[in-house]
Amino acid sequence: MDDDVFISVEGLHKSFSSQRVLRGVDLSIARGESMVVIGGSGSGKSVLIKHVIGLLDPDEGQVRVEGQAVGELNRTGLSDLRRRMGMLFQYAALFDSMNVGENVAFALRQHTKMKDAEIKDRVEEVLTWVGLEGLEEKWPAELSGGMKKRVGLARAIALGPEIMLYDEPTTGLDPILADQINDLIIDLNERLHVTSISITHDMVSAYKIADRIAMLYRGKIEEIGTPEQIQGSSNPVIQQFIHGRAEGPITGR
Amino acid sequence: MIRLISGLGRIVIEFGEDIGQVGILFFKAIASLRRPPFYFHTWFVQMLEVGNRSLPVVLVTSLFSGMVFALQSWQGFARFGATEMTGTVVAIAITREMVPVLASLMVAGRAGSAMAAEIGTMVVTEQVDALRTMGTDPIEYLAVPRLIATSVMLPVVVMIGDLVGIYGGYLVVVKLMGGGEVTYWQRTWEFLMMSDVTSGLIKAAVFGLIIALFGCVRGFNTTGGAQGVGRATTGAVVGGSMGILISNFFLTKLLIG
Repeated sequence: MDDDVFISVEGLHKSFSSQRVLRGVDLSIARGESMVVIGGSGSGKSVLIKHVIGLLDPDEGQVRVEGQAVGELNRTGLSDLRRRMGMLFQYAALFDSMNVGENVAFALRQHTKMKDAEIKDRVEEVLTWVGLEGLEEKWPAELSGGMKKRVGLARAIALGPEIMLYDEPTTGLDPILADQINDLIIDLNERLHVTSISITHDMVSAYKIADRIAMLYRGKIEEIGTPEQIQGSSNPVIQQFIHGRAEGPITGR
Repeated sequence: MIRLISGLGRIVIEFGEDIGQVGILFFKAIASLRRPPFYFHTWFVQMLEVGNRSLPVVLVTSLFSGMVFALQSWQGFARFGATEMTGTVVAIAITREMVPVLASLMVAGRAGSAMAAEIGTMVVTEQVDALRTMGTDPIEYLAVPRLIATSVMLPVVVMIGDLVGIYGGYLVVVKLMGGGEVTYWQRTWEFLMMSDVTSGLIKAAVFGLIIALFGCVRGFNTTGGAQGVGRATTGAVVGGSMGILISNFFLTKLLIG
């Protein structure tokens, strides 16, 4: 195996009842790389990243992180691996029974021996980084969609992850807020050398944050390449998707 | 008629599926109690929550059950001139059967439904997934505190309910029907045995566990959006109540010996 490969998805299959969502996905991601997976709604993008962090078990094939199959890890192994990962959920998935500060501090309290004062400092630091300093006492219900996402981001990076997974990071945000999220993602990759997998159908975001883009279509990776290669692809499926056309091979028209 | 039968059949099938999952959750919870982490703070918060939610409804239920039972017994005993035995019968019925079962059914409606709604909402908004991605086991963090809270708190509220129910009997017998005050208390304490009270409390602990198990199972299995949460909530109440009523027979058999 290539030394440079950090995360590799090998022949991943997954079905839900009779619906075959993933039909043999192969993908490898290098250390420090920002991989963006694009694809239509319901193409299985979320299912794919949920396998990376062990929220779903594959029917066939596997996901390896540093050569270790995620699906074969025991409780402790999986828990250790998850501490090295952060995940931003599509709707942020903030704990609504906790305020912003407690949300961000959650993993720190669970998994570190940090003192209250240190936790407070760390929470302040990451909230400042996402531009939400001083909002510790707010409740998730009081926040706008964009603020929730940024709190979600702050919570995901609190433990200083090596791998970040972004589930539709810019969906539902206005273009300016979306771009702020893009900048935060790029900043994280550059400053902390985080390896990331993002899934999105926002092409503006994809071009901006990706080192490479992979398109998921009919349960497999249709094509993979740099943003320039994808833009210049002659594959009609890719062309229809990135230009958002109603007519083409995807829709069969 | 066919719709009625198929509806009944569906409930039986769902209940059967729940039983299996309830068993699995129970053993997972037991297993997780053998190793850290323990979220003692959350245990305590849940106990307060269950206590707060249950106490008012249990008090009302117990008071009126005691009163009604006293009224009925008084009428019955009057037929052969044994009304002075009313206190005894009320005390035994209240502590052994009425308060443990009725209070638990009320708590299934109050706390069991709330558990399913809370956990169900967390599932559909991916909060449970978020917990897992942060290396926290949802069973340890969400289910275990609730299982402990209901099985510890239900005997506590039932004990209070016992006293209130017996007092309700006193109100009817002495204040309404004009029975003797001294006789009522004498007959109550003379024949009431410790085992009457403890058997009721043991039942309450088991019923508490059943309520939380159904609440958590239905919560964790929630699919879909708001509608799914609604289904989980009613499912938790129906499943919990059936669990209480059915297990009550076997527990009674076991406790009587």
